[in-house]
Amino acid sequence: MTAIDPAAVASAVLGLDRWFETMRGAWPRLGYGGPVVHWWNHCLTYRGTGLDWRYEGITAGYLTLWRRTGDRRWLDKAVRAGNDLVVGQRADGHFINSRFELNPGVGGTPHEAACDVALLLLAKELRGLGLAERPYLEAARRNLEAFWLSRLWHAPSSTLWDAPGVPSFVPNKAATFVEAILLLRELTGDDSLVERYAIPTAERILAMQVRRPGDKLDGAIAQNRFGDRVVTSFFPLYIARCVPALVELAALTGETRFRDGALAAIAFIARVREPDGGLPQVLYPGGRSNRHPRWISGAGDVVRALAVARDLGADVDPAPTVAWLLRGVRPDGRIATAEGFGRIVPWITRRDRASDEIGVVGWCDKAFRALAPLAKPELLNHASAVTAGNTRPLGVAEVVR
Amino acid sequence: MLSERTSDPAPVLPVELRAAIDVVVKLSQAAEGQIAGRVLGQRQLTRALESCVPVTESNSMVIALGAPPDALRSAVASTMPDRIVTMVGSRFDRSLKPFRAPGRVALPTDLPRAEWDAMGYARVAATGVQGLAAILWSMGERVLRRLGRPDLADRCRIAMLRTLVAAHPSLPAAVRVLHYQRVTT
Repeated sequence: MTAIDPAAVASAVLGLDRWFETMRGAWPRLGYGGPVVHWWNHCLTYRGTGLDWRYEGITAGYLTLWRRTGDRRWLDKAVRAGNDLVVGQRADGHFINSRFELNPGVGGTPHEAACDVALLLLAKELRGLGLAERPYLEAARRNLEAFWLSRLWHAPSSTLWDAPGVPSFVPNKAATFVEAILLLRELTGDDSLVERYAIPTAERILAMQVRRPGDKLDGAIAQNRFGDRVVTSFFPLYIARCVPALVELAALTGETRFRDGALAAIAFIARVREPDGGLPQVLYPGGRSNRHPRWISGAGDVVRALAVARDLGADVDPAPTVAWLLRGVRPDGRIATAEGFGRIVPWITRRDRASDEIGVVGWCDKAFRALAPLAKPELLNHASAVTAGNTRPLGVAEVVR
Repeated sequence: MLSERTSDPAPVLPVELRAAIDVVVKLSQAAEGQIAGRVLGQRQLTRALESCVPVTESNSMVIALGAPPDALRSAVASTMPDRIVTMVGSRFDRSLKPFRAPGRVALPTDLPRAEWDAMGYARVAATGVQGLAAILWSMGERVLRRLGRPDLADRCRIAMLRTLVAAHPSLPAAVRVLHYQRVTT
């Protein structure tokens, strides 16, 4: 593996932590807010708290830092993130403003499952420490049961639909659901969750994977389908987000088809990765593609997938993409969102180039999660956590009970 | 006081109405990121606005989102605001009705110019949303998707979304956001 500068990684992690603190707000509830820029559209008017997939990387990243350093401040921040979700959960199980680029609104996918992943990771950690994990476990379970299993799960076809009543399937979103289900199974001991939900969902994901040796798209996973009509767009970032779930499920069940699918997906990602470590936005059949915008902070999820695959023995090196992430670090601590918003559609989107530099919590969390395991603990212990005003992290003793 | 947030989630609006709400927020927002004004109109639209930014009740501005003309006249007569921001439809909007999803909010057209003059208000800004460019990009997306060119269809969709706010206020647009100021006391 190519060498990664540990000082640069630690500096990026501490910078992100500092920047995340500046992105906390109190409207409409306490939590991480700020603008969102995305492939289809942006959310620049609503800048309040969003309880969406940003919580996944923030919680996982802080838990990683806590485990690596033993510094209680990191655990407190993970707990604070969990509290945002518990307090921001509605009576119907939804999290407020969970639609990311479509905020405000509820029922965001995969965002609410990503919130569940955050809650369950926290619950798992707290249980290991002998601390109260119940509020977090129950909040995740409530969301999974009320929304994902009751409204999105189509039992006759054992398929996770992308919207209630709409026969549609989105592999990367379903993969996030699988991650949540596997964590719930681990915490509750309910093995039937694997058979009923995780395995059928992973099978649907594999069914949308291109397996044509020699083809550039071999290993790629199509973006979605409506009924039987597959949308043949292949987004490397979203394909990367399928990998951890498939690997976890393979490890749990011993079924090598899931591992093989994950490795084929990673081989595709490695094949289309560009020399600077960035990835094109989307590929289509017939050798067509749109490079722009190339995610920078969001490429953290690619690093995470590459690291998972390398642990399985795949001959892949995350370092070029880590370097790509680090080149996006800005003086205020954020990591730039992307490169090339202004070039998605020549001339038409030229004024959108400013979006490249916007700091988005729900993209930077992915860099944070990917970089946290790479930071040397001794370089993190002098972290100066910003804890001003109402952003003070809650101690574990203050956990919602 | 801040507007009371109900337990209703923010409604999911069609893209053109969502873009129009963005324009309304941009026109009405104070420096602190809040809106001080009286919001009236169709429930879906007022909820969408109040979900986007904190709204403080004030008589200095009326924000009428698809409000029936009588409700707008009444609000203006009773508060005599300095500023009025309205979201209204157009003849162009009506011509697009056959292509709209059923149940989409129907927007009334603007009050006649003479009536605004009589009330003592002058238009100072107008923004069109979903004009010809956005419609053409949308048609392009459909055609290219049928022709098996998802790469170009995706670009058309993004171009449609990025051109929802019409390039010039005088061009035809389905939705119009109009800004009036009081010119007489």
